[in-house]
Amino acid sequence: MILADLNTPELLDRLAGEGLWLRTGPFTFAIRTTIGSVAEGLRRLYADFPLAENKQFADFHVALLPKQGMRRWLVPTATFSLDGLFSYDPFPLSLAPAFFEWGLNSCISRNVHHLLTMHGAVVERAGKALIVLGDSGAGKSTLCAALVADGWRLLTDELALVDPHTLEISPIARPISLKNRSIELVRQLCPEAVFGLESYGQRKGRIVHMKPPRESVLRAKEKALPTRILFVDFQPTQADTVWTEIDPAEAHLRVAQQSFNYGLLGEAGFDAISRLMVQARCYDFSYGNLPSALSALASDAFFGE
Amino acid sequence: MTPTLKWRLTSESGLRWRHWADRSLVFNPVSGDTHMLDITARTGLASLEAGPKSGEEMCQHMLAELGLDPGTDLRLYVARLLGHFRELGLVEKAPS
Repeated sequence: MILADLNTPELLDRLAGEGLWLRTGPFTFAIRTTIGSVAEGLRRLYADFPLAENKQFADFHVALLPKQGMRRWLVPTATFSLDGLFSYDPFPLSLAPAFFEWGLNSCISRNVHHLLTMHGAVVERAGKALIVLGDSGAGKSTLCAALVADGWRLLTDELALVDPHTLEISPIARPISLKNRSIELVRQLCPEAVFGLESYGQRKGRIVHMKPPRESVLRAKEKALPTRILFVDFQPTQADTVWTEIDPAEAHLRVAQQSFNYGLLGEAGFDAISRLMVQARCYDFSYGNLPSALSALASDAFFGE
Repeated sequence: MTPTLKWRLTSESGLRWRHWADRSLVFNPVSGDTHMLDITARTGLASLEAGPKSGEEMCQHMLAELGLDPGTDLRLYVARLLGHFRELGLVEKAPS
């Protein structure tokens, strides 16, 4: 059974009651909410995701609920909780769809330590997985969305989950997070893509999520081995795409900086990234034009040995 | 007579290394930190894996390992190197 099999009253009923038990890759989330924008985001963006029928165990029990109290009449706010504990300060209700996605990300990044977790996107084509890393606002998700629209399989937009023993990446294929100018860029490039509701925050600006392709969701159990790692840098005035290979020793440290739990994994993390540097070549990848970037990544010059 | 000061690794279980062309990464299990070293610094730190050494003994080891002119004076370099390694928690004074 997938989420799209539920009609809207059934979806709302589950969300307000025992929870919607949703599978995303290796994790099951039991989700409760009475916030309409979050329910609508789930309906639009998670339609193809399987529901866990055997409700014996969920990795994470999360709830997004409107905050009660007098202040709600002035500034409506909401809370996100994991297993009954509040992970964030209350946030404006208008940010609820974005907080839902961030909250699920934080459930994984704060609690999953049998895998090496990194802040980055992963896509795959012809068995070759590409990890896309970079600072916040560097253009990771924009490039990820463009690659997915170009036929690459989405494994993840926000959290790369690397098995420290095999180096395989587990897909979670959740919606792609877009901010500000990247929203229009991707809408123009992918006019048929489905988007969730737009949120607005003073710090991050406009935020919207793009629905992952059905095929990527259906292939959520197919892991992939990374062969290239990009550190992206979006330069809006730059016409050409430029890439430079990075020395593996430096790349190791930069990959470690993008990991949530490298330090926690200790020697296992060091060993995993050391082997990753043998298996995957790393590049600084600067682009300002999506068609040029897609063309570069489709070329033999990039993926050739 | 004052005994010669010797240095040793802080990690009793040794260090974990990954060598690349001209640089190496070393993981220190004591601190959980990873450090990048050039070949000279790597040779100095690796010399302590065989056991505690004085600065002078490290100089002699490095001269031989790096194929440098035996007259090369590495004492100041090694003193600074040990200072850095100590700040990073990689080495400590060995009990006399």
